[in-house]
Amino acid sequence: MGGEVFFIYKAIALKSAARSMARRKFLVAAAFFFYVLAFFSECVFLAAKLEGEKIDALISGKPIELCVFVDPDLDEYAIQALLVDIMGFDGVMGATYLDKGTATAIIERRYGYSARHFPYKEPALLGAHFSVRIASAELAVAFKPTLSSLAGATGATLQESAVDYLYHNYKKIQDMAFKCFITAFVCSIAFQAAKARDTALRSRPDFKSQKALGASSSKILAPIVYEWGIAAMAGASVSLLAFRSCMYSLTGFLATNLAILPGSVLEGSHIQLVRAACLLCLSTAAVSIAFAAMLVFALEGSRIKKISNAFH
Amino acid sequence: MIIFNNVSLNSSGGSCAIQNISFRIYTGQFAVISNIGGSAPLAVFCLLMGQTPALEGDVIVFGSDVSSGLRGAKLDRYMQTVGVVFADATVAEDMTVGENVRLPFAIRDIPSKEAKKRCNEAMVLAGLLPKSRIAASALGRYDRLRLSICRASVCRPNVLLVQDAFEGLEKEELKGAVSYLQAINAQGISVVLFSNRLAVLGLLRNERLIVFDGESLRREPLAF
Repeated sequence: MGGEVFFIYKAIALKSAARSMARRKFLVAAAFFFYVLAFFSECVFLAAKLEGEKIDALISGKPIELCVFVDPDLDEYAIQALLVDIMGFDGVMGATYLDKGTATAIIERRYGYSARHFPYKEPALLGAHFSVRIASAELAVAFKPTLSSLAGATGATLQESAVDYLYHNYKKIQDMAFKCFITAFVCSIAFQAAKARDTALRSRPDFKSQKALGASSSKILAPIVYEWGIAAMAGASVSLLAFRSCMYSLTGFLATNLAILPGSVLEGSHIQLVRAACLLCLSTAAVSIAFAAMLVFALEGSRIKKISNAFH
Repeated sequence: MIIFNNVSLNSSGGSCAIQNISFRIYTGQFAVISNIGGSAPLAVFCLLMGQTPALEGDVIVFGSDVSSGLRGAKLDRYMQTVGVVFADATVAEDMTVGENVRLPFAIRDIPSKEAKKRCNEAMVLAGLLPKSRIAASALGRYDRLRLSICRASVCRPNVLLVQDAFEGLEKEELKGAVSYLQAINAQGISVVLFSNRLAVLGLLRNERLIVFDGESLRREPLAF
């Protein structure tokens, strides 16, 4: 870490980053690129994780916990009937009726999710905490009508669209994110290659003079590589913040307007994803940095040889 | 000490640039290498830069044998012992004057406190201290040359190689530049100036002149 800070300090000290407008534009563009890259990486990861969770549950038969907020008029048997008959669960492992405060506290404790994201309009709604087992593969198909039925039982208005968006279209989201990811990746290669060439050409006198002062190639290129690294890290951080803000806004909106909140699937998955998503973004950034470094050395290493020849 | 012992080198066109040249430049000496209308100074400069292998003969620069040319880390280490001022007075355009002078210290990992002190001393000698915060790209030709010389000599190299970077200078500026080189030489740094410019040679008539004239080599000061 100390070495990185030192190199970053050097990169800043050498002022090869901030002096020219072209470099600044490049930094902004690079940060935006990594933002897009990390954003879509997380989208892909989220969609894949949702699908994976369901598939795991189907294969292993492990129970899934749902935290469902239901109409207080429905009694325990009615809810169990809904879960077993309509949703396709083969057994309700346990059902506990909770008041709203307890239910939100459970969610907060389990998922680290703030209770302020559950500003229910209906104060009479109660929470029920279920531990259920998935019966068959048909559940995946039956998920939407199931939740829609529950939504109908509790009179939710936006349930249909939310469920449709978050669950039945997740494959579309996944496909879209994957295509965007590939597009961004391919564009980034072209972008970085062009920029590296421009940088090399623009910095040619600098390279020449630094070589004349005895600087090694790695020392000349380190500031550039670290510029990209800083841009990548900044982009990844910004993307994480932006993405989480979007997700909190979305889930907050859903929680405000929906009567049913399948906690472990919607909130739980998202919250459990955060650490993994952070790691994913960081690893994406690290891979991008490594790629950028390789690209710089591949492109500008040959430039340096030519510059060396320019001494003659 | 710089030793050229029966050195030959062909130019890029294949013709002979220098042939069986032998001379010595001692530590702390100010030498001018000139060959009006010829390519010998450039050939010697290339050999002293350490990258061009000699066709034959020995080139020894302060203990480093560069006859066969250096590459990679060896070249980098060698270049840290040699200061170079190119004909276009190359400096880092996107840095300020102060940053340009500090650059050699950054490359050598010299602590910033010591670097700052030595930079200030060097900039005072160059007369660049008031302009230390100005961008190098905004400098005039004369200031740019002084900056280039200052940057090349600030880490006290064994020898300062100076190409003819005096084009476009006024007479007074030319005198100033030569005086600055002599001041650096007075600090014990050997200076090798490659110039065919008569005006420069006239200012350096008391220094050691190495003038190539065909295949012969004259070592005595010339009268201009």
